[in-house]
Amino acid sequence: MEMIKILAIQNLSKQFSNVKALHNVSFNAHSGRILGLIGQNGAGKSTTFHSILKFIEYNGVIEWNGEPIASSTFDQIGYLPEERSLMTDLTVQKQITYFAQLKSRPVKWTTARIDQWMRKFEVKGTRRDKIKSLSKGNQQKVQLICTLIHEPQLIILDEPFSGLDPVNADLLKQAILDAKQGGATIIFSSHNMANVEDICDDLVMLRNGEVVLNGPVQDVRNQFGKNELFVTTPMAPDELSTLPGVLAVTQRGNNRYKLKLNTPAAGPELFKLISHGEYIEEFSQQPPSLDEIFREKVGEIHA
Amino acid sequence: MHKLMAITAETYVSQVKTKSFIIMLLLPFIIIIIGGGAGFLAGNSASNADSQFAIIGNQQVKQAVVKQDGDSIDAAINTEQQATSKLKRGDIDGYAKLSETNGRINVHYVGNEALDSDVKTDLMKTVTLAQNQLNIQRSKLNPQQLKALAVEPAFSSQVKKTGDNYADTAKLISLEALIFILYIFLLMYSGITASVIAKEKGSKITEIIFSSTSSTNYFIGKVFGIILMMLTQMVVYVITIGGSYQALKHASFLKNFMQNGGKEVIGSVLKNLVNINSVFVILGLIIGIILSATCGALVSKAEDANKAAQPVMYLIMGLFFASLILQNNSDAMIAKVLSYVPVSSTFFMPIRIINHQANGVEVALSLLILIGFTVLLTYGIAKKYKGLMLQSDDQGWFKNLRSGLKYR
Repeated sequence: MEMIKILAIQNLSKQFSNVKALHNVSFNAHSGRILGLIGQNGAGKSTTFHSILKFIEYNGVIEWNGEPIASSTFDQIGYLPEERSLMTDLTVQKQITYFAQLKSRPVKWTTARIDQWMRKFEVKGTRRDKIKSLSKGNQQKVQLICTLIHEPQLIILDEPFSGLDPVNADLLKQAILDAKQGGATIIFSSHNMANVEDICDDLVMLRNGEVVLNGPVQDVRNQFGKNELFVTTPMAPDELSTLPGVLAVTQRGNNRYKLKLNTPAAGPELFKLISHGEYIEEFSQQPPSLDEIFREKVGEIHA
Repeated sequence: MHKLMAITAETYVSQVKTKSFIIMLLLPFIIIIIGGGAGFLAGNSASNADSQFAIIGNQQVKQAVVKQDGDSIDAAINTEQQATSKLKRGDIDGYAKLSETNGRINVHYVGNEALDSDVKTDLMKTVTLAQNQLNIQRSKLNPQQLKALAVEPAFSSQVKKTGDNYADTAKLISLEALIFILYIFLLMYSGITASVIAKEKGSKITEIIFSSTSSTNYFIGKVFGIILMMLTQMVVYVITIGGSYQALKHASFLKNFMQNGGKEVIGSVLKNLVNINSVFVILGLIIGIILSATCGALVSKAEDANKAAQPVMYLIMGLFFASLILQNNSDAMIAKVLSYVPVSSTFFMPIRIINHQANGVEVALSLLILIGFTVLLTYGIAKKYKGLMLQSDDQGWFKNLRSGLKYR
């Protein structure tokens, strides 16, 4: 059985002249799992990545598989920077093989795999096309191929979904899930909670350089309690809001509502009152979505 | 090591394939071909328009002048009648009519244009000789008197340095060649280096590269790639010039040139340049590339890549003008000092060596300082290169340098 590899971050702190960018950040990322790093702009996501990659000096400990990250570890890392960039005068093949060479993959090894990756990402163009002749979307796909083709064990993606249309976002999700299947450790940052909710196993939320949430996605959601009730009923909103335990009613569509409860325990009583013991199209009690948790956590500081 | 080589190879291959490199490589040859072609055409059209003259009235003189200026003399014309009719038709530009009265040779020139000065000189020399002969015949001198008249002045010479008659010319050419080669190569390669690196920095490629290999590898790889590119250009020039010499060495113009001092001059110019001076020149070029690589890292936007080399360019231009001014006064204190200061020593020490003003110890000392400086500079910049490349301020090159050095 393959050994589980762990990226362990302990008490990571970073100070930029007069800004505290990170303060005692600690979390682990495990092989075969996907960790989403969320937070507002300036929360410290990119600074965390830059610390892992040794772009900056920091206080604290960052270890990959029990050892500090060094130049020799770089070959196991695939990194997609937030600001996308390729050498636009090169051909697709030259660009991919050059970056892979810097990850110690021989040109021949890489060349043999390019077509397969271009098919996987549905890149429109050939390997002999210059990067600058490709559309922006296709350039992004080439960039992703550059990040993943050398089969990294630790994959760091800074805002990988930004600028992707839904179809390409799905291709990327599939690639991330494939890498997970292959046993890689994956960390990505995102503003889009839907993407995080879709594919992440674990989640870390940063706010002003500090960890405010950390754990498996479902646990994080559950810790906020199943205080949301999604129902489809012919009852009027006014009627719903008078039911016991209901704090607020939001209309989601025709006869579709989201009720905010003051306690999860109100659920069974409400089921009786809304369904009257008969068939009901929708009755789903859930913890708040990541989006709501995100807003709530961000809001705490402003409150 | 293989990552360093990958960076070197990528830099070299992608630069050597660019149009601008190929143009830069071919430009001198294009200029020579265009210049030579224009000269040839001008020469041809000039010779087509060569003036034609006739000499009549003295067969002996005519034959002697035809021997010297055959191209300009129409030898078929023997009588004044022929000459005037050809002059009318414009076939010739004029004719000289020789006659003798009372032991004096008269030359009378008639023409639409003045007599060509070369032809006139040769004609008058020949006529003077003929006049001398005539004078001797008419004076009826006895053999002794003739002998006495035939005494000629003697010319002898004693030159201290034999075989070094062209030393001054060679020195001048060596100095100019040295200064211009350094200047032009420095300017070209500073620009290229800075813009290559500024482009990559501006496009944020650096983050991907630095997540794969050390900034030192990147820096050294880039510098190696550019040095290889420069060597390629130099080798192409050496091969082309050597090859053209081999191909043309039997051509008359080159033979003439080589026989008339060209060989000596070129020989001593080469002797002046292909020695310790080339070490100074090469180190100077390497330092230029390293400094420009640093400047390239101080730019934050790819659009500013062309301006990136400016600080180095100013330095190079300053040194260039200083060396032009001081090349003939390189024993001055300031030139002496500059011949030890790193970077400026790459201009001034070779100048002093060519001018025979520096002894072995001085040269060795200056070279040691220069080598030490190059090593320290490379080491220092390699260490700080990550900070220089990753800092993304946009507040002018000096402030960017400061924040790059302070980057943690």
